[in-house]
Parts: sequence; C-alpha cells; structure tokens
Amino acid sequence: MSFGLASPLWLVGLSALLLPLVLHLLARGRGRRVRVGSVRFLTAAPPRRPSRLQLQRPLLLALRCLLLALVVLALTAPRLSRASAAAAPPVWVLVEPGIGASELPARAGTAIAAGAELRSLAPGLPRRAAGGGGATPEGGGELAALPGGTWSLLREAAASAPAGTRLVVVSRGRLAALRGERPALSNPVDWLSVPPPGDRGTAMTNRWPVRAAATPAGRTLVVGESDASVTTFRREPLAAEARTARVPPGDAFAADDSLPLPTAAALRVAVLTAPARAAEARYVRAALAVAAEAAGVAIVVTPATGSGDAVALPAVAGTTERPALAFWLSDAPPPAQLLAAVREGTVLVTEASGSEESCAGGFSAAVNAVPVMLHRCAAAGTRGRAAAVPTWRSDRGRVVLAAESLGRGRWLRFASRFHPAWSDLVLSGAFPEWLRDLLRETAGASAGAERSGSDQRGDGGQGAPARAVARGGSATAPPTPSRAPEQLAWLLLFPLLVAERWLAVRR
Amino acid sequence: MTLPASPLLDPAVLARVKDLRLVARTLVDGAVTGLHRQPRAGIGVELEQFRAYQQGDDPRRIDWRAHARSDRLVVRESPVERDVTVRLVVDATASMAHADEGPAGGGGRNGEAPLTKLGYARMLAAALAFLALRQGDAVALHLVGAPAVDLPPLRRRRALERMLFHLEGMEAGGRWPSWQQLGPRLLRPRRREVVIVISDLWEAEAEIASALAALRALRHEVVLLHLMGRDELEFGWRGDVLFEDLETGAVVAGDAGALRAAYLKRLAGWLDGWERRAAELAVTYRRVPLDRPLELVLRDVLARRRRTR
Repeated sequence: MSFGLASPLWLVGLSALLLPLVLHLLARGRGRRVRVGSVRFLTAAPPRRPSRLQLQRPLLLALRCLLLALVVLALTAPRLSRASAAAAPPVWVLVEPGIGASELPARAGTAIAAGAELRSLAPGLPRRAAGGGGATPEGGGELAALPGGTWSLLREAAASAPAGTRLVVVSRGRLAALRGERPALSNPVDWLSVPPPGDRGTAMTNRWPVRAAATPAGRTLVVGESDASVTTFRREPLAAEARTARVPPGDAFAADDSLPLPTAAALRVAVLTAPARAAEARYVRAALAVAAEAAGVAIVVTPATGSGDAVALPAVAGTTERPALAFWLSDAPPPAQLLAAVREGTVLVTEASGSEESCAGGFSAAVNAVPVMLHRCAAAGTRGRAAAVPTWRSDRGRVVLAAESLGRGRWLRFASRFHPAWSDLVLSGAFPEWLRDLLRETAGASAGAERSGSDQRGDGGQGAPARAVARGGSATAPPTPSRAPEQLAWLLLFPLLVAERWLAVRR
Repeated sequence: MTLPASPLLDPAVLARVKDLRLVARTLVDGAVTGLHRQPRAGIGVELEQFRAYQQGDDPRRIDWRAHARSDRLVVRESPVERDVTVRLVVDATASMAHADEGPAGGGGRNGEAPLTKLGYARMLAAALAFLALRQGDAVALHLVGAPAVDLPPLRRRRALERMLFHLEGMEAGGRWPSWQQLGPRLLRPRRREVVIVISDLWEAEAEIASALAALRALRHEVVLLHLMGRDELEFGWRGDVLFEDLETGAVVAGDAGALRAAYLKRLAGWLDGWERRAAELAVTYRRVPLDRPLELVLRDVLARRRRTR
C-alpha cells in the first residue's frame, strides 16, 4: 500500500497555515470589544499584564490549521495505491534487426539507460549488446518473411517476459511485417518507428494508400505521406491493367485484401431528364460525382434531355450500351425501352410524377442517420405496386422509397423529387451516401470491403497491438489508485467548518 | 406560585415580534389574566352599560328617559372612578443599549440583533400600559433620554396606540437628567400616582436616586424595576476584553479573568446600596435580569399593587 499525491504542487498551500497563526497573535494583542452600561467598577481594576507569548483559544487555532491543512490535502488529490512503488515494471526494448545503436530513438536510449533489457526482435528474442546490432545488416524482409511477422515475435516476447513487462518495440514500421491479426497482449507496448536507411533525412517516414479512384481519365491512387511534422496527400496514377497498388518504397496492396482498386472499365450511368426537371438533374449529377469518388468506381454519366416531357433515349437499350444505373426524371412513365434495360440488369431510379400533395414528416436514408425532411410527395406515391418493397418510410408511415425487382434489374421509386423544394434529401449527406452504395452494388463490389484510409497506415504506432482487455483482475493489470483519501478530506471539511464556526462564536 | 418559563414568553423570542401591541396583549392575556380585578361597576359620569332594574337597586340610578321609551325599568351603570394614574418612566439613556452576548440575549441567533435592555424595557412598558388601561387606570409615559418623550395621563383607548408608537420608536441615547430638569415633567401634585421606573440605574451623580426621593416625597407609590444584563451580574467575559462605557465612551482594557473578582465585589456593594436606599424610601425594588420572563415581572408588579390598594 503506497500513498501518493496527484498534484503535489498544492503542498505549497500549507504555507497558508501561517495565516491563522498570525491572526491569533494579532487578536491576542487587541482584545474583544464589549459595550457595557458602565465601566465604573473596572476603572480601579489592575492594568493588563504585559502580553506573553501565549495564544488565546488554542483549540480554535488548531481547528483552523486543521481546516486549512485538509483543504490543501484535498487539493493535492492524494491517492492510495496497492502496488508497491518500488516494484516498477521491467522494460524490454525489442529492436528490429538492422537498426543500429545510433539509430535508436532517444526514448529507447533512455529506457536502456534506466536498466531496460535490450533484445533483438528476432526469433528467440536474443539479447543484444547496447552498442551493437547494426553490424549485421538485416533487412525488414526477414521479419516480413516470418509467418506472422512482427506479431508472432511480440506474442513470443509477451509469453517469455515477466508479467507486466513493458515492451518497447523499435521498428522500421513496414506494413509487410505486420501481417495477420493484431494480437491482444497483456503487456503495455510502446512502438517507436525508425525511418528506412535510404529515406533518412529526406523522405517521409510513413506512406500509406488512402483511396483508389477511377475517373474517365484513368485510375488514380491517393497516397498519404507523413513524418513527425507534416502530413500530405498526393494522387498517383494507376496502370489501367494493374491488379495491385504499390506504395513506394515497396509495400504493395493487393486489390482483394487491402484497397478496392477500381476496374478499368467505368460504369455507365444515365441521367435521363425532361427539360422541366433540369434542376433535379443537377443535384443528381453532383451527388453521383461525389459518390463515385467515394465508392472508388469510375462512372460515365450520360445525360439525355428532350423537349416537353419526351426524353430521347440515346442507346439505353442493348447489351453493350446498357447503363448500369439509370435515373428517369420526368412526369412521363419510363419508356418500354428503359424497362427492357432494367429487366436485363439496369437499376432504375425514378422520382415522383403526376399530381402532387403536401406531405410532412421525416425519414432516415440510413441507419442512425439524421432524419431527412419531406415537403411534397406524389399523390399516388408508391401505392398500388404490390411487388414493391418499402425501403424507406417516413415517421408517419408513408413509403418514401420502394424497390421492385424487374427481371435481373431493380426499379427504385422515390415518392418525392430530387429537389430541395420537395425534400431535403439532396441537401443531406445521406444522398451521395445512398448513391455510393448503389454504385457499389451495381459495380459488384462489396459495400463493406472498403477500409478507411487511416487503417492502411504503415506507421508502427498505429499498428501496435491492441492492449489486452482486463482479464478478470489479472495480476499484471496496472494498479488502480484509490481516491478515498481525497474524498475523505472533502467530507471532513464541512463538519470541521461547522465546529470552527461554533468555537469562534461561542464565548 | 411561580409560572414556569415558557419558551413562547422568552424575552429574546418576544423581542423578535415586531408588533408591540401583540407582545403586550400576549403577555397580559397569557400570564396575568385572572389575577387582576375587573373594573367595579358603580355610579359615575361615563356610561358603561344598561341593565334591568333589580330589587334593592338605588332608584336614583333608574334611567327615566329609557323607561319612558321602553316602559321598562332600566338601571344605568358607569365604571367606578378610582382616580389612579400609572406613570411609566422608562430609562432610554445610552447605557440601555447594552445587550447580553450569551444565550440570555438571544446571542444574535438567526441574524437577529440580541435583546438589549431597551428592548426589554419597551416590551415591559407596553405590557404595563396595556394592563393599566384595561383596568381603567390612566397611564402616563415618560421616556428619559435623548430625545425625551412625555405623554400626559390618558385613559382613552387610543392612548395605548400613542404610547406604543413612541415606545417602538425610542432609541437609547443621552444621559439621565437632573431632578431639576426631570421634575417638572413628572409632577402632578394634586393626585396620588403609581410611578413605575424602568431603568438600569447607571447614573453619573445620583440623579436617579434624587428623582426617586423626590417622587416619594410627593407621596407617590414608586415601583423600581432595575434591569441588569446577565453579563453584568455574573461578569461572564473571558480573555482580553476592551470594555467600552456606553454613556461616557470610556474604555477599560484588561484580562477579564483578572478583573472579575474586583468587579463582582464592587457590583454587589452597589446593588446592596440600591436595595437599602429603596427600602429607606419605601420604594418597591425589583431586580430584573434580561433573561427573566416578562410575565413573571408583570405578575410581581400586579401582586404588589393589589397589596397596596
């Protein structure tokens, strides 16, 4: 059991104990003033004896000092810890082979100087002299070649080190060495990165792929780069036939296990718009551009307009020219030519047509999303379509989006329009998100395949193994300091204050 | 018989009641009612009530005008004129601002100012005036201090309101005047009066003693209620204290413990002197500590008056 102070600087406040002492000394010299009817019987009294160094009301003084000391104690936030202060956890510094003593980060050097055990991050975790290690130039490839790489070595270290040992890993931080599932260790792990030998001083320390995208101009890969002071992103071209993306200086990511690399062939998206619906088409095209970028899908938007409600359908039918996704923005029903394309696999999105009616309420375009408000809807809505499956419903029960399977394709009917006067959907982030999911489905990519850019980082610190979850009060769990002394100090303050007041006012 | 001290009639508690009339009524109704005599009905100028004629009544008391109107024999009754005047002399000099610091004075509980001698005298005078007026006596009020107030003997119902007005507004200040100054305010030689003096008897040159002697020389019945703080009686102070004289402003500093014995000895001699002087002058002397329930003081005064009637 050890006693510690979370804020020991507050101990300076103990100097305030001088205050009541001085006040009592001053009060002793003055005397209390009492107004009486007459002092005639006191005039002949003996004069006051010269002051002696004797405090009046010592109990009150002691109580006031105790009060101040308690306040100071409470402010220092005392803690009781069951762990012995002398039993500091041991530290192992695990250095990746190939990293010389001169390359060790300062923090690792400090730990070694404080008595940490220096070992190589190699099978068997051999001990290593403090000044050696750089003589044998071993590349990170060895770590990467091991089954499990760095993770298996860390598991080995956790198993062989004494319980509670802090592991300080000094590594080049190559992603190739971090294959497999990240282990959950009971030991605390500090991860220190050392830049590759060739890049030192000039190149960025970390590079990671952020996003692969396809545009009509070609496929690109957004690469993030960072060092200790700056993080930048730049776009690099991808070869049209490439199946993997490579992040210099050498880490490669296969399309199927890291980034969803866009295919070279772009999806065709047709936005077929009646002239009266030009405003809606603008919102749809803008959201499509964003959604395609987010989905990593290359699209080619084919706009088509007509006169009146007639929309020219330039080659929407036919196997080769059939759009994967089509928007029909018109009061007229979709033409048979378009419906034929849907039966062959096209996803058709239509909006409200015909007479309209006012409708209120909100609907959620995605789980846990902020509700989107509806203003106007089609009078017919999506009623009367037995095969249609309601996908979105407003909070008043109205079907906002219904999906109907037609052949190999689908027909999505939106009961409102893609216009802010009709609904807030086009003003909400839910709109491009919905389109992104549509594009993914249409492109055949799994919606959950994408990993966020930050997860791709090769930085060792980010890739460090997760700390073990508390395992039933394991002995290696760090001690939890008790706040009981602090709470007790605060609790004692009030009764002591009452007692002080009582003592001060009583005669 | 002594009344148990009721918490409701604790002077410190009563002092918090702002309505002095209510205080007086509470004191008189709660503690004194039943002991005093009702006004005796008899012959007089003022009409009190009519009642039916009974055999044995003096035919001269039959109201013939009422008989002419109602054809019934009705006797006219009037309160008896006893011609007694109660003169209240309340000391409102600066020394009356003294208040007990301990529980006797309320100790300033709940932020209230502690009960002073003046506050105690105010309640006592109000209760005495209320009691005397209820018994049909005429009541005069004199506040001695600065500023001075003199109300002539009044018997009317509104007399109480005037007295309460002045009692509520009185403040401690000034010193007791000489008999040459005070005498003309009090003298009413034609009548015999009951003079009740409420004072702490702190005087510079025997002015109060002279006044008492002069009143007795006029054959007035004098009741002297000597107010003393419990602190003054027992000298309960401790430690270094600066004693300040409320009237002269003189300050005496000293260790209370060292001053106590000599003070108590001198005080005892002073109090004995007052008792002796009162006995010589045939003045009824009652020492009243500030923590003494007011109804006990009232009962004491009333019992004394009944004995002397």
